[in-house]
Amino acid sequence: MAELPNTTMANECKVKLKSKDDKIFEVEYAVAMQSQTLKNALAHTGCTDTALPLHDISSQILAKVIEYCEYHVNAANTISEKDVKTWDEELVKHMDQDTLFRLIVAAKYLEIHNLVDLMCKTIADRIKDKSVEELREIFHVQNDFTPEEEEQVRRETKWAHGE
Amino acid sequence: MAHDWEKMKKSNSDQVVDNVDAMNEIFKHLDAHSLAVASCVSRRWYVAAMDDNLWEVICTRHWPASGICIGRLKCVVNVMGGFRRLYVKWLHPLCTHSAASNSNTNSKDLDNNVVWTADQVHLSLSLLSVEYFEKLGPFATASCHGNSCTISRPQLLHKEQEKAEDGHYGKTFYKEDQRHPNWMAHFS
Repeated sequence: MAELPNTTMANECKVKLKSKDDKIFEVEYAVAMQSQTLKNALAHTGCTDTALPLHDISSQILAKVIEYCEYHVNAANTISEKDVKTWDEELVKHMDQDTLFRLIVAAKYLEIHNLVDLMCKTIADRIKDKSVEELREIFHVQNDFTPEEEEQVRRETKWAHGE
Repeated sequence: MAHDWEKMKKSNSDQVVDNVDAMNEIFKHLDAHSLAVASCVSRRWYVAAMDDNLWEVICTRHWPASGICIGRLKCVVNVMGGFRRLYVKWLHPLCTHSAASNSNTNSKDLDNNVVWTADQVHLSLSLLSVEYFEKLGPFATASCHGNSCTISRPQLLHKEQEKAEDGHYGKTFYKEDQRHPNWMAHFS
């Protein structure tokens, strides 16, 4: 098993990531370390010139993940928590549902827990205080219950619908 | 119409919004009221929202502050119907009843802001136990001798084992006959 780079090497080490659509991204070692998955992978390979393949993550999504990680690495001891939170909010403010979901899946795979939380909280906030019909419209979800099933579900959740 | 539930659960980059694991992560951030509404959206959302781990968090989030030890109670609640049942049948109505005098408090606000007292939690747990005992029917009756009623330990453990094996209702569900017309009964 390859040794982890010492601090000097870590500072100079660049990690290459290959997206699903074969685009190569180069990131600082510290940025890659934000991902537990990459951390574990690099513990085995050491600092390598070979790009780590991320088969299920598109370049568009990977770019967003890297943007998030780079900001948070740089902000670590220099920017206030409040400003970091504001930055996070701006990042997700106008993101469409599809991008948010894809980011959750990517962040879960890469084990970047803060990013998973951020994306999930954002979507959860869009779910709260909405009716069933509104949720179907916002998330483009088809009602695939049979009439009997839907009646049963409504009955089970009557306590939540009734005011 | 048959549904391929295993395929539904599997992550598919073209149907990310239907990814049950992703839904489950999102639902962890919902309150009880929103979770219940979400369960009405579609079959996938229903299955994701029925995960008893979600309801365990909703029920127990304030228990340590009330001095209630969750650890041992967890397996007991799981055997007796799970945390969703505990919440919907007992905790929520108890809370609604005790707040009835406050005309400004609606159901949604209660779900978001409630901190149950230890007494309310203990009462709910007791009621859940009574309901479970009543459901045992013949087993319970056959085990009652004189003044003491004992429920057969192997039966209780067997039920606990069934639920523990697959982690939570959601996973157990996926292994069962997915084409069964009465699939929702699994979550009752």
